Amino acid sequence: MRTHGLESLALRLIPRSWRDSIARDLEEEYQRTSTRALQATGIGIRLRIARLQDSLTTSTRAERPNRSFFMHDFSRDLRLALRGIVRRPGYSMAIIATLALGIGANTAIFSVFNWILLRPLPAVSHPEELVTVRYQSPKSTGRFFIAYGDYTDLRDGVSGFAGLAGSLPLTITLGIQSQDDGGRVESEMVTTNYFSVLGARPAPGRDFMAAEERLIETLPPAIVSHRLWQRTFGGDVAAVGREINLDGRPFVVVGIAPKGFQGRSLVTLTDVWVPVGAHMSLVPQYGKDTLTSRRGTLFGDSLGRLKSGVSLAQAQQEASAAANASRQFMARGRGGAKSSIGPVLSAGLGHEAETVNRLKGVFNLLMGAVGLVLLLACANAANLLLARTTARRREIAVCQAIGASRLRIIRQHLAEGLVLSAAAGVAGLALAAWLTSLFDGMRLLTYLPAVKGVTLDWRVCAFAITCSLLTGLIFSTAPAVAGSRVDLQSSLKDGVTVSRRGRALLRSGLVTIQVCVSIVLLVSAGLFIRTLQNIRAVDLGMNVEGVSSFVMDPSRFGYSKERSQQLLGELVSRVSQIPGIDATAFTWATPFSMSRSEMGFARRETPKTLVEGPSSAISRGYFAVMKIPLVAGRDFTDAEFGRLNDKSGVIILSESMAKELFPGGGALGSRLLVDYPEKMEVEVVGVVGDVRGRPITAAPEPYAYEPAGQRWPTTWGNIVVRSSLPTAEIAAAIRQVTQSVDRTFTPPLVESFATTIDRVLSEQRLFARLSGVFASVAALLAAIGIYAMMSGAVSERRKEFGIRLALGANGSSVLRLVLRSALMIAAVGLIIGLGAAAALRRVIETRLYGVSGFDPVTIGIAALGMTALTILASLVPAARAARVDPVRSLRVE
Amino acid sequence: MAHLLGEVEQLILLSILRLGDGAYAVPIRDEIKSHGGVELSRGTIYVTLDRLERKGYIRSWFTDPTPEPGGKARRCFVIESEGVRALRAAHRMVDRLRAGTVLAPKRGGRP
Repeated sequence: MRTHGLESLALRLIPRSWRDSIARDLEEEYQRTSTRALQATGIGIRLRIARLQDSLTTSTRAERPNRSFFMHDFSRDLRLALRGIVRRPGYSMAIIATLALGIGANTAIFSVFNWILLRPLPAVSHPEELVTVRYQSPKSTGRFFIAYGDYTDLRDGVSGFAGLAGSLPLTITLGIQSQDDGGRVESEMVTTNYFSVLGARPAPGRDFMAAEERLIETLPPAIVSHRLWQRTFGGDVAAVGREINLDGRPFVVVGIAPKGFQGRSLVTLTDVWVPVGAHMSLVPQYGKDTLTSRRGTLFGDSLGRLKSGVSLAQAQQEASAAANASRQFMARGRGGAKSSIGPVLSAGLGHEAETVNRLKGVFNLLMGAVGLVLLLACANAANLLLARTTARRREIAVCQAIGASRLRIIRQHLAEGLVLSAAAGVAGLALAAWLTSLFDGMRLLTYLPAVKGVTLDWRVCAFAITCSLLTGLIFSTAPAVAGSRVDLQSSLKDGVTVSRRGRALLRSGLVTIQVCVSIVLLVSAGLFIRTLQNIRAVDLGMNVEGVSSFVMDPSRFGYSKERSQQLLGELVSRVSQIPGIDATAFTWATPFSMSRSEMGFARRETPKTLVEGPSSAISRGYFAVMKIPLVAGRDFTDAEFGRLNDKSGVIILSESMAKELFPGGGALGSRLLVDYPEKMEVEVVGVVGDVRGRPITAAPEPYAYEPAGQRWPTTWGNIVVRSSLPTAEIAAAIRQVTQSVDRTFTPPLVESFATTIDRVLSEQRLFARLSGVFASVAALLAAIGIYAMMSGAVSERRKEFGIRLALGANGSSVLRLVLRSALMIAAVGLIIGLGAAAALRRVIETRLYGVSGFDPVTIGIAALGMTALTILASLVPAARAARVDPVRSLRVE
Repeated sequence: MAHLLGEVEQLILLSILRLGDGAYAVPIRDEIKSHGGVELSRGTIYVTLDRLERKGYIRSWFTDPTPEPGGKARRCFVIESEGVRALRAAHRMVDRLRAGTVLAPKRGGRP
């Protein structure tokens, strides 16, 4: 047995005159001691240590009888690789850092999306058995909420479900001591079997009882999340039985949801659950029986748990059959178009299919970009590795001279690459952990909750491992093959620097790839940034600078329809009296709100041709607040509001709506037929400019405005205010006003349109920002690559430059020579990169606005930037070449 | 008259005698520990072995190195006739001195 590691180090401490005579003895004692130590430990560990020690201390194949040839060689390769890496710490660190950057960025993006899309629903048992049930019509891709009656049909009619629960998400105001001290929280109104279907048992406290499914006349129960319990009750068991306020209505806490449980959604952190029977307290606007009995009123999402052994397809079949069998299933209510709508089951909970698809698009794009960054890092690392194999030519030649096969040398290189990439993987994982912590608390996209507590779970680790293994293979293959091709004769001669054509070509090839990849990233970053700029510069058709809005819904607080409408009017006039507020108006929908109301018109001459478009009921002064220009006619007059029972009314059309209805002009003063909810005639009294809404990039929709209360009482809507005061100040003043009208009102969420637009543009902003970051990293890596290549080339061609200078060339001509060769390589990369950008433009074109996927300005800027970067990066090596001392460079040999 | 043998020297010489040809430091130390109940440090063993060789009581040689890269040779010892004689002389001297003595504490001595 050979001495190893520490022991041989210890031997060095002994004077040389002694060392030889006692080394063998010490070895024996070391073996003995370690065997004794091994016997003292457990058998499994003992075996493992013994094997490890064996592999470390034995080296001849004969001594290792039961080891496969491959494993043996592999472990030797690894050991050699490790030694080589440790011996050159600077060089190894450079490669590891480069790769870690790429792997870390990839892992970070992956882990955020893993957290959003892939992690299992927390605190829910067997989430793989859960399915979501919604309506879908073949015509649209959207999936809709299901009505309560239909829910019960499915619950009772599908035997494949172990349970089917329903849930309606609501954002409410929570009050612990007073009306609203808990702020706004997410809640769900659920069927009473909700918790049992999800496999979560509330404790302490109880689950909802079946009786609570029916209208509750007394104090309704609520279950709160473990999170909320800890936060507001300090985890006190006495919280069960406490009274809390939800939207100003009293509820009693009957249970605490299990720790981590956040309901049916991955994206929403739900904090309060109430049973369906409490609907009169939270959604009184639906009326006493509407929600649970009228099929036309949509209740919410249905979520089922499949019985074990039942497939999704089987359950789907049963559900469709149950829907067909039911006489009243939703579809029948809509003109008998039964076949067009049906329940659709989809596996899993948490996200709507639409959100998932949208997210997948975002994810793929970001992963593509960050994957390119990794590719670039690989090229950089390969370049470094290549430089080193050049330096190691002699060593390799010696190996070959004493009989190492070429395969053996390639394997050795690959092993080194793998060890480096494994180290980079570890570093990358750490980097990813740090990067994701930067995302913490950030709302990446408006339709997602803030990223919170992203963990590096097994999926992320598996991703990082795969990533680094692939990286290792990719970046070390080319240098390995190139490095194994050694010309023994010339390499073994000392000091001969032969410029190896093949290798130089490979190196410039790698740099070409880098330039190419970074140009693709630069161009796409430029396009995304220009898209964002273009969208921001879009003429909205109105001026919402300094305009804020908030939603008021008095009907939710028990007011009748008529009184609600009255209250809204009162609120508008009281808000307008707040000092500092320049103008106030009411509108049912703002251009950016999600709610839409379609209105159908026909001209009197052609009553059959219906033109449909979104509409909003507004108060006088709305156009002034939003600065929407009045193109023709007039605004509504006070007398035109609230004339509910008149058979005639007035309307203001947007320009495009007017054009659509009256292509020949003459809209003003014309009469239009409206037949919903009752037939009536409206006169066009004005035409206003078109405005853009959501999405901003879409062309303005034809729009119609009617006075509030004309066709039906306006019970809720948005109040818009224009003011030069900061939003927070306005919000405080408005809050005072609403509280003075009714103390139980939820304080409104006042938001400036600037914030709203930011929210609407969150995806574009994310793309612009991240692609900008990726492109900068890519450009930096490419610059490093160019620098490394040029300095390698300059030191290899030192003699040539020496001769040139000796023969009378001046420094600047050598400088130009070097720069030209760098630019040549960059130019090839640029051309290929632009080709790639052109080919890839389809991928991003759908996300661009106001700029084509092959925008010459963006491409020009990117190409110029890359050229400047190339010159900058090769300036130092070029200057070094120009300063070569001919005498010294020629004396070297 | 030969040199006086020290205690440790005697122990080591006796161990080599017991172990026979090819004794080396590790079993020597083990022998002293198991039969003499004394644990000598490795340094003591090596220093004493060197001294004994210098005095001509023992002789050492190196075995062939183990057949592996970095394999090392072992230093083995054998006792010389001079060593046996010195050991015998030392024992005789002790015997002579011991003759007629009672190996028990003197009565009435200080406690």
